[in-house]
Amino acid sequence: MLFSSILFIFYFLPIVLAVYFLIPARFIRARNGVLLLASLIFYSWGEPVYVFLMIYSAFFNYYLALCIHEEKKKGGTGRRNLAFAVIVDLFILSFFKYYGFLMGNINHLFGLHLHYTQLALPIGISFYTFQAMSYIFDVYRGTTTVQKNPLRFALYLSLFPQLIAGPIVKYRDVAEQLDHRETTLEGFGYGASRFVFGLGKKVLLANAFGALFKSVTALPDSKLSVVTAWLGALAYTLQIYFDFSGYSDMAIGLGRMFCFEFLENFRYPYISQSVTEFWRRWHISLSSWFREYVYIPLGGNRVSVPRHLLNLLIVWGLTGLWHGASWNFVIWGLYYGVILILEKYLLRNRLEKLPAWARHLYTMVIVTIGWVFFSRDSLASAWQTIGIMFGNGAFPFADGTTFYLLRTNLILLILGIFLSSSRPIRAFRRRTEDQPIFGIICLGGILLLSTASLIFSSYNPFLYFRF
Amino acid sequence: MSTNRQRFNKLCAICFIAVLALVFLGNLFMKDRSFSSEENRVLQEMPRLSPSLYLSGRYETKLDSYVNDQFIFRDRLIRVKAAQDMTLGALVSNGVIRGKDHYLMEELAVPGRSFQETQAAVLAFRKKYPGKRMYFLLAPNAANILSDKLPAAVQVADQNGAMDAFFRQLRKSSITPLDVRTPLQEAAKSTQVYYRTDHHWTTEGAYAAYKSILSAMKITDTVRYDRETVKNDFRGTLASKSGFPNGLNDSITIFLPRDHTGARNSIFFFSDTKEKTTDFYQLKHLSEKDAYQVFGGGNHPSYTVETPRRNGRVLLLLKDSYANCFVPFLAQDFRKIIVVDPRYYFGNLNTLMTSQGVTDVLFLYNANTLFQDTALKMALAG
Repeated sequence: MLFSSILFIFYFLPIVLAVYFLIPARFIRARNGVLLLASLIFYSWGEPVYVFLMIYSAFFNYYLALCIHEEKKKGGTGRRNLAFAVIVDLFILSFFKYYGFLMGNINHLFGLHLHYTQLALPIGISFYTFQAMSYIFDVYRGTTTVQKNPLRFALYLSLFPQLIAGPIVKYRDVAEQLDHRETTLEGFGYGASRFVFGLGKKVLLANAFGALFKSVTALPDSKLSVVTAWLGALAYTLQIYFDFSGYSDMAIGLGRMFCFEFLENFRYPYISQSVTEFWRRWHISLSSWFREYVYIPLGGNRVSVPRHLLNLLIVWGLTGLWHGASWNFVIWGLYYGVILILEKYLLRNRLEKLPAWARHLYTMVIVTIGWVFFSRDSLASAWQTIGIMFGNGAFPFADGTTFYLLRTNLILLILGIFLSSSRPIRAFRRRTEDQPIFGIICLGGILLLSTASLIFSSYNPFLYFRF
Repeated sequence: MSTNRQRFNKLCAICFIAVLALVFLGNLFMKDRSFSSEENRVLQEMPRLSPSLYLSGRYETKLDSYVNDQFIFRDRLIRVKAAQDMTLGALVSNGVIRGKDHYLMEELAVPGRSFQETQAAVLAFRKKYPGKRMYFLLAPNAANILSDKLPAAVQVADQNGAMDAFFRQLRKSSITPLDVRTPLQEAAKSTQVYYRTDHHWTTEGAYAAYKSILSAMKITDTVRYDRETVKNDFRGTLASKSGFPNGLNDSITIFLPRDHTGARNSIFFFSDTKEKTTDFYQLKHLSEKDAYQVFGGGNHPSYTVETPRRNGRVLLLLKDSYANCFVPFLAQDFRKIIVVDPRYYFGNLNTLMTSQGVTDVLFLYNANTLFQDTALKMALAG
């Protein structure tokens, strides 16, 4: 099920909330039971088979963590069980996510025609596998206690607010909340407002930029121009931010409604003044996962310079690969690896001498070009787009199509750029303190417009005379 | 300060719970609708839950359509979204352009993949019946004739180029092309030749086209008509398709022959409904969503029109819905017209040609339909 659907917002959510809060707070087990059941229904909605894979993953990791714990209690290291757990987790993830990619590459590389079937990707598998692994690592390192109750661990892994698109919540960050959570009307209200904001970001902004991006990618070569190509890249840049951060907002908001507190996942990444800063603000839960469980165990920066460069490239290659099984994502990850290395070793002092707007512009150009790799379905198409953006080829600077796209999307683009900065949200928060009604009207408006957009997507007039 | 923030959050909580509860109860107690007149389709009703349906994922899909289709204030919310799009500057929705002067217009189609085959089939048909007079009236679409109503930024395909190329091919095979673009442009200066909310030409537009083809078809027209407006609040296909509230409805006008100008009564025989009548205009359809059906009751696979003319000419009219308001004018010029809509007709045209003693063949299509059509070539071949 998707958060941004009528079924979720106006049926699933009210029913789950009602059942959950009808149970008195002291029966935390019953409340957890409701949430677990709701999460399993949420996950299995429309694709019921893979829910068993997730349940398997929950029990497998639960059990292996216990084994590690037992072994350590007896004075062992738990290393073998850790290795086994990680290998199985990665194998499952790879089998569903990378098998087709791997076989395709083998066929391509050796000129073979091996037959293979790419299975459908289980929703959220990259997220919950990483969550489970964070738990296993933490138990192994002793940074968290082991969970004795399998259902409670299953709840952690499957908790529907963060199940499908993150944030990647570490077990130790919510361990206590699984046993004890504080319900306040205020926390619920904060969660509700975060949810409505996130919904608006996804439905009103991300979907609109998605439509613009789609109309640019659908253009034949004869209608492309430099400005149009930049418009497409800008549209995707805004789409992915509002889509992803909107989903995180909804997840954090829903979590708060059920009294869970998740860490922030996005902190206005598009106001960054360097790429390094961008990655401290973008998808924080993923980059902190990689830093904690890959980069630092590899030695981090306390190694020789060549080894450090290698570490960075490994981490960023894997970060790219995590996003999807295609060379585009790997290149996208390595691209950031290289730029971060350059910033660290060469550019830092030079960047600091630039005025703030230039640093910001530099960052956004790097980020926007990065998204071109991310958004295209092949490397060739990404290179072609980047070529057009930088005037390589006989494309005009702008044409009638550019004018049309600008005329029909200009308001939206300005709005998007404005709302991706931190100022409007902060100003809104300040103003609501003096004028709560203003805040309620804004949130009500966002909810109304989002609902209208969701309903409109099912608008399907049947047209006589046309068959 | 923090108390203010707390108060606001509490207010948010109360409002959010109230909205969810009200909408939930509203949806629960609202009676389900089985048909939407806005969208002209049957709405999804509550699906029945069964394990196999759930496991296959079909229950979920159906329930999803159900909650969307039956959502409280659905029609109003759709208008909210359309208004929002317009505010943000949308000029095209679902292939419909929001033009100046309250005009909604279809985007122009370019010849599709099957058009080469359609053209070849038309030319082959000509070759098969060398003795018959054949005409092709390819009507342009609104965005072509009324290009001055297009918003500045919107670009449309080159319909004229495609039409010119097609007409050249026709001429080579001695099919008479009936090019009505100039007369429509002339008429557009003083009357409304296309609906603002529908993809058809108006009766006025059809009449202007008709007047311009008289000499090419060797017909003389003596009948004078009185215009009668039979509906003032027509909202056609383009309004439905786009969801744009263009702000102005259309009127539907029918042309009734003036007495003593030589008009003869025609008998229409609709074979699909087995209906024989002298009334071409079916006013009962005016109250329906698709009021354009007033013209002969919409599309029929085929029907015949007989008029007591003694010129001995029998016309086979192969057409799309642009012909529906055009037929009454032609009726006065032929002893018999056999109207065939290839999209719904599965009979044999060759049998028809010989058994009915057809002397003239007129193709009447609008360019958008013809360029995308796949039915005509099959009818002509079969």
